[in-house]
This record gives sequence, structure tokens and C-alpha cells, in this order.
Amino acid sequence: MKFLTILFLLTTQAQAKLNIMHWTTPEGAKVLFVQTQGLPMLDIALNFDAASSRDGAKFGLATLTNSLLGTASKYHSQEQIIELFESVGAQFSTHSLKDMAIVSLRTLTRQDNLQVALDTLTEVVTQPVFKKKYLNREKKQTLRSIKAIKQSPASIASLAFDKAVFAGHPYGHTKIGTKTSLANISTLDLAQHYHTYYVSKNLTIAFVGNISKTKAKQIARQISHGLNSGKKPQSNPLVTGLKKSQNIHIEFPSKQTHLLIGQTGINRAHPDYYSLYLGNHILGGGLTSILSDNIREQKGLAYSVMSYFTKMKSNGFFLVKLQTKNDQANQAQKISIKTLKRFLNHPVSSQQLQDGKDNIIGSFALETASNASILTYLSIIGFYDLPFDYLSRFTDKIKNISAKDIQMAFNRLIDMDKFIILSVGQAQ
Amino acid sequence: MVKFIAYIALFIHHLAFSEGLSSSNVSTAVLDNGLKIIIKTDRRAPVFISQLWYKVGASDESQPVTGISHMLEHMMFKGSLVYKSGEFSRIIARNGGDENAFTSKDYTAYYQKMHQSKLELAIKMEADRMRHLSFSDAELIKEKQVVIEERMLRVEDNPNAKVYENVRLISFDSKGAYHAPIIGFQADIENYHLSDLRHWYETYYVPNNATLVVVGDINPKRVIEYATRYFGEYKANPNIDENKNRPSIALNKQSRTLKFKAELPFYAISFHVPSLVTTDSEDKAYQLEMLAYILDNGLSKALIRNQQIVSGISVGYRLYDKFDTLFTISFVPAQGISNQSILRMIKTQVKALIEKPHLIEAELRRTKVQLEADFIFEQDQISTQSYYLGMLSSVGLEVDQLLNYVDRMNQVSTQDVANVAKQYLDFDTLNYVELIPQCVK
Repeated sequence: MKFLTILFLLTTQAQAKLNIMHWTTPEGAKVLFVQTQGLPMLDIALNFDAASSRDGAKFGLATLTNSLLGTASKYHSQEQIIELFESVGAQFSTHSLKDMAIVSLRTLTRQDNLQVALDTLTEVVTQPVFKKKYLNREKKQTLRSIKAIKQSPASIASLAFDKAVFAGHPYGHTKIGTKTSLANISTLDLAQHYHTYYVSKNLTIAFVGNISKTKAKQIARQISHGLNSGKKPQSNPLVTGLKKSQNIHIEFPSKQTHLLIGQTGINRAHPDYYSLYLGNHILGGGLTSILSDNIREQKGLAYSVMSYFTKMKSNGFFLVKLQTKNDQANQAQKISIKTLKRFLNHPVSSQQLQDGKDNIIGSFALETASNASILTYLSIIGFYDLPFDYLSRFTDKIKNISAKDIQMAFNRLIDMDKFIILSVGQAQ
Repeated sequence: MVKFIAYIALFIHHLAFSEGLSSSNVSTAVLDNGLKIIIKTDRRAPVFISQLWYKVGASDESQPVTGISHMLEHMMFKGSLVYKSGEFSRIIARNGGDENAFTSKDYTAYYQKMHQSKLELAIKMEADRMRHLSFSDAELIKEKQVVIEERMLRVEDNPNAKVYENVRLISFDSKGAYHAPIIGFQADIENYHLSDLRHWYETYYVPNNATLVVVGDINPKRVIEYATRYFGEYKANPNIDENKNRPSIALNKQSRTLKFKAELPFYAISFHVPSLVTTDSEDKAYQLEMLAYILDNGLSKALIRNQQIVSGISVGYRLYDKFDTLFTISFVPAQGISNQSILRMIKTQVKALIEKPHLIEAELRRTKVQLEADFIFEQDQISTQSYYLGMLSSVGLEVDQLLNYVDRMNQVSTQDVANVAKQYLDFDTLNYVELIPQCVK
């Protein structure tokens, strides 16, 4: 599920002329469809605003609910469901983030394969049964995942950073929950979560593949018809900005220190979105960025160093992230801070500006070159209520940004005195 | 399903052609100097991927220069006679390209993914660094540090990766291929000399040891024209093949217990098997491939979903390795379950499969359908398409063998699967590595 990881990141994106068809089903589901030819296949993503930011006090509830889809339906057991998908070569999967709970299907478009795959998908999403035995098994698996996280310095760092930057917000907790929170979750909770959030008015359907618009309409209708119409949940509150800087160190017996320097960021509707996007690309996006040059190319301090904005419904965060030998952590931190300061105090050079624009605009065609990547964009556009011409206008927005725009946008958002500086590793 | 060991799955996902996707859109050529060219047109989007594959990797290395192919891969971005250090990446980026490189056991490859109008630029720049690399000591010193950081990130601070590294260390003799890690031992990385790298480069980075693969919305004639223009003058190295016969040497009944700070136990076993390249009968390699799929599915069902005695399990086989390879099974036990009881269940499953092959009839049928569908799904990415073309060429297989994959897999019967299980999965001589976690705090 590689494509899901980029939903959160400000990576390079966009394409020229995709013909996005869109409509709303009678039950209220939003649908985006792109017809592609050349391969006899179809990708579908059902995106519900039903992920961990909807957990309430029961941390882990949303992820468990999503992962139990496909374990049992009104008419079939888990093994039967798996066999149904396998018998037509379809790939079914579920994935849950902070905003988006996703159910996806990849199938051949040959009629008999397509019908079985779609009927099975519809059944597991619209008529699930939450059984205690599957819930208990999934909880046991989750407890193992919690241990897996505890032996990964990257995961420890990332969760601790979320907790600090989203303190008190529904984004702050671990989406898979904790040992204590899991113990209090019952099948009834799952059913309730499902009935509240897995409803048509809370659903964006994205489709890409070799089917007609008529067929797409029929499929969207079939899925949304089986769900309650329901209502769209209220938006989560905005993330409150940090009051002051914080230094957090977590001692861990690793050879490298994972260093995260960041603070509150933006959502997708932010007025400086494009300036921040381009600016970040120049600062920390990829092998030719300023951070990569200062930390890796000039000093050999890290294999990977980057900066990015996460963009969600509420505002996400801005983050600089690297890993370096424990005894180099202080040096890497100093260089990162100095690089950030310089970036805020001086406009980027005209060469850096032009290179950044040329890369983003020149790589436009790559971003929608596969069905999988088009599907990702349709999900983002639909779920985050972006304009349907978001992709076609993207390069024009980037083209006109000046070095001054970038500098001012970063200065309006980033406060050098409010950084969380988090390290996981062995302190020297 | 929580699949936290999914990333260690050794499965190869294949690519092939079927359902109206004929092989006619693949063309091949060889330049006079031995450079192989494979071109596949895919007109779904106005983009291409160009990959240059060198037939050299960790399997050609031994101490004290383990990891040198990978180190050279890093140095390839550090400037040539024409371009300064870092300029390759900057020029490609400025032209809207996505580029990188990867090193494995049997090959090292470089790629650029770009708009179709940039084809000549990509080929021209890749050709330049095949022969004109500038080697700077200052750059090497820094880049060695970067590679050491990479090794820590990927292996040293990653418990399961350490287990896998140890599986290869104990399963293969150090005098042959596949023993040492691709990234190299830390002591070797620290001590590379510029002359080692230069020697490696001059020996292996020659046209008769490389394959250029281009997939996308391009004119095959242009590819050959540009390749001829930019690679055509390079001389072949006539001695190349003599340097390169270093097969893997199997060791049996080896084991290692690792004790270090971690949270979860992990257990991996390995059996020695032939690959499609080394097998005396190709059928057997496909049968082993099918066995891996059937066991992976069967064990997931039995041990994760039904008995709930493991929290993750993965079966791996490398069909396209250049030398004799491994069939591996690795698992994370569920809380409170001993490795031995899980091993017993795995043995029971394998025994049942050998004695009553008809029991996997339905599973085999579904797997075949799934594989056929997967071939089509994998064509969605031009990078996946070029990956398989380049990899097969690099280990000495023909494009046809990729195209025949589905047909060959469809011929495998339940009895075939049972036969290879019986022949190769010998639990008395297997190797294993177990991780016994020591408390983190």
C-alpha cells in the first residue's frame, strides 16, 4: 500500500489534463472517476472520514473497526470472503489513517471477475458482522504491533512527535491504541462506530480503470445504496499552535539518533499552500534539497534527511527529520536549525527557485502515469473537498510564486521559538 | 490484518503479458560493443523510464571489499569529467526527472523516470558516467560515512534485518556468493580505498556487462539511435566473464541464536534450492515458486487466522537469483507460544501437503487465477515492467522467460508441489536463526 503513505505528505504532485468525472449518488456519496484504457483492470478506493481522529476516548476503535471489515459479513465467513476474492484474482485491503479509513479493491474488468469482486466488496462493506472471535484475534495482533513499534526508534519518534504536536487534539494518540484502551473496546463499540461513520454522506468513492461511465455509476450506486445515508460528521477542531518550544529526549539503545524538529503546520485550504509547497520542496524535498546538501552531501552526517508538511482535514505539522550516529546528533541538530533560520531570513536564490519549479512542473506527467497514482489523487481531491480542477491548475499556481512569496509564507507560519526538538537514541 | 512483517516478505511479484498484451511491444538489440538494449512501449502516459543495469553486485564480492558494488553506486552521483559532484541529480531534477539507483546480489541498476521529451538527455547522461567517473578521495570519505549511516538505519537498528543478514551468513560459505550482506560489513565499508572502487568500475562498468532497458511512450528507433550515439564508442572488456564465476556454496545444519535488546522474538529457517537459472529442470523452479505461494497462503490461514499461534509468517523463494538460492520461512510467534511448537505445526502442514496433495487442489486453482491477475496489475507501473526485464537480462535469462511465466505456472500440478516439497524441505538439515529479545529497558 505504497500510495497511502503519500496521502499525508507534500510530495511532488499533479498532472495536466485528466478527465475527472464526478457526481453524487442519491444516497449522498461523492464519486470521482477517471476512465483509463490499456489495461483490463479497475481500482476502487472507498474513503470514509472514520479513522482514528473519530476514536473519541476509545483509542484504537476506528482502526479495529476498519480492519474487521472483510472478516465476516451477513452471508459469509472470513475464509469464504478470502476465497471469493482470490477465486477471481482480486486484491482487497483495508487501511486506516488519522482522517481517512480506506477500503480498497483492485480487480480485473472481465465481466465475471468484476461482478464477483464488486458484489463481495459491497457485501463486506455494507453488511459486516463484528464477531467477538475476530475482534479478540485482531486485538492480540495489535498488541504485537505495539511491541513492534517499541523496537523501532523511527516509530517511537514519530508517535512521540504526534503526541507533542497534537497535544489534546484527536490527532494526538496512536491510531492502533494502547493495551489499556484496547481492553475496553467491544463488538458493540465497533458496530456503533460503523453505524455512525460508514454512511454514504461520509463517503468518497474514487475509481480508476477500464470501465464505462455507465458501469461506474452503477457500481457507485450499488455500494452507496447498501449503506445508511447518515450524515457527515462535524469537523474536528483546529490544532492549537504550540505555546513554546519543547526539547524531548527518549533514551533508546540504537546506534543512530532519530532527530525530529517540527511544529504545527497547515491544512489543505491554507492560503499560502502553494508557496509553502514549493518552498518546502526546495528546502527538504529530495536529494537535491538544501537540507540534503547541508547534512548529507557536505558533511556525510545522514543517509536520509528531509522536511515535509503533513496535510489533513485539520492542520497537520511541519517537520525536519533525519537519523545520524548518536555522537553526531548535536552537530546535525545545529546544522538543521541554522539551515531553517537561514531559510527564513534569506530568500532562496533565483537558481534554487527556478530548479524547484522546473522539477515540479517537469515531473507533472509522472504523477498521474499509473492507475494507482491517479486513484490517490482522486481520493485526496474528493476527501479533502479540493476543486475538481486542482490538478490542472497546479502548475499555474506554482509558476507564479516568487522567492519573496516563499520567504513571507514561511515567516508567517514558522516560529523559530516554538519548535519541538525530539530525539530518540543514546544520549552522549 | 496487521502485517508487521510484510516488509520482509521475499516474494517476487512477477510481470508478464496476457489478455491482449502481446510480446510484440518488446524489442531487443545488441550494439557491437555488447551493450544489450530492451525496449518496451507503453503508451498510457507521455513518460518513460530508462534503466541501466550492470551485471555486478554483492555476489561478486568477498572480504575485505564486501559492499563495494553498493559503495560504487553511491559514488556514481559524485561527478564525472563532464559533470561536477551532485550535478547529475540536479540536471535530472531540473528536467522533471525522478532518479535513483539500487544494488542487489546479482546486479546494480540506475534509473531516470521522465517526460518522453527527455529521452536523449537521460541516455546521454547515463552513458557519460559509464566511463568518465571522476574519483575524489574527499567525496569518498564523506560518502563512506553516509553508507555507514545507511547500514545502521537498515540493519544495525532493525532486529529483523539482522536476523536475515545472519541467515545468509550461516547458510552460505564465505568463499562463494550470497554470504556477505549487500551493503557490506562495517569494517569493510570503513576501509575502501579509491583504487578498489576504480578497479571495480573499470572492470565491470563496460558495455558488454550492461543492459539498457527503456519502457514507456517512446519510439524504439530513437532509443537505439541515442544508445548508439552515446554508448557506441565504448570498448568492450573481453575478460569480463572470467571475473565472474563465483557460485554460492551451501552450508547445512547451521544455526545461530541472537540475543539483543528487542521486544519481539523472530525466527527464520532456510532450505537450499536451485533458482530458474541454476536448476537442471526449469519445471522444478516454477514448482518451487508455486510451493512458496501455496505455503504462504496455507500457513497464514492455519497459523495466523485459525490457530493464532503466530502473529506474522512469510514464505520466500527467489526464482530469478543467479546462483543456487534459499527457500525461507520466517515468523513472529504469538504471545506465549514457543518457536518449537510453531515449527512442529509448520512441519505438520508440509507433511500433509506431501502426503495428501489433493487437499491443496482448490488453493492451487485460486493461486493460478491470482497470479494471472497479478501480472496484469503489475503492468500499471512502468518501473515494475522495466525492473523484471532488467533483472532477467542481468542474471542471464531471456525476455521470453518472463512472457512464459503464467503458462509455466499454470502447468504446475498439486503432485508437483508435493514432490518439490518432499525433495527440498528437509527439516533435518535446515538452517535457522532465532532472535531472543533481551528487555529494552
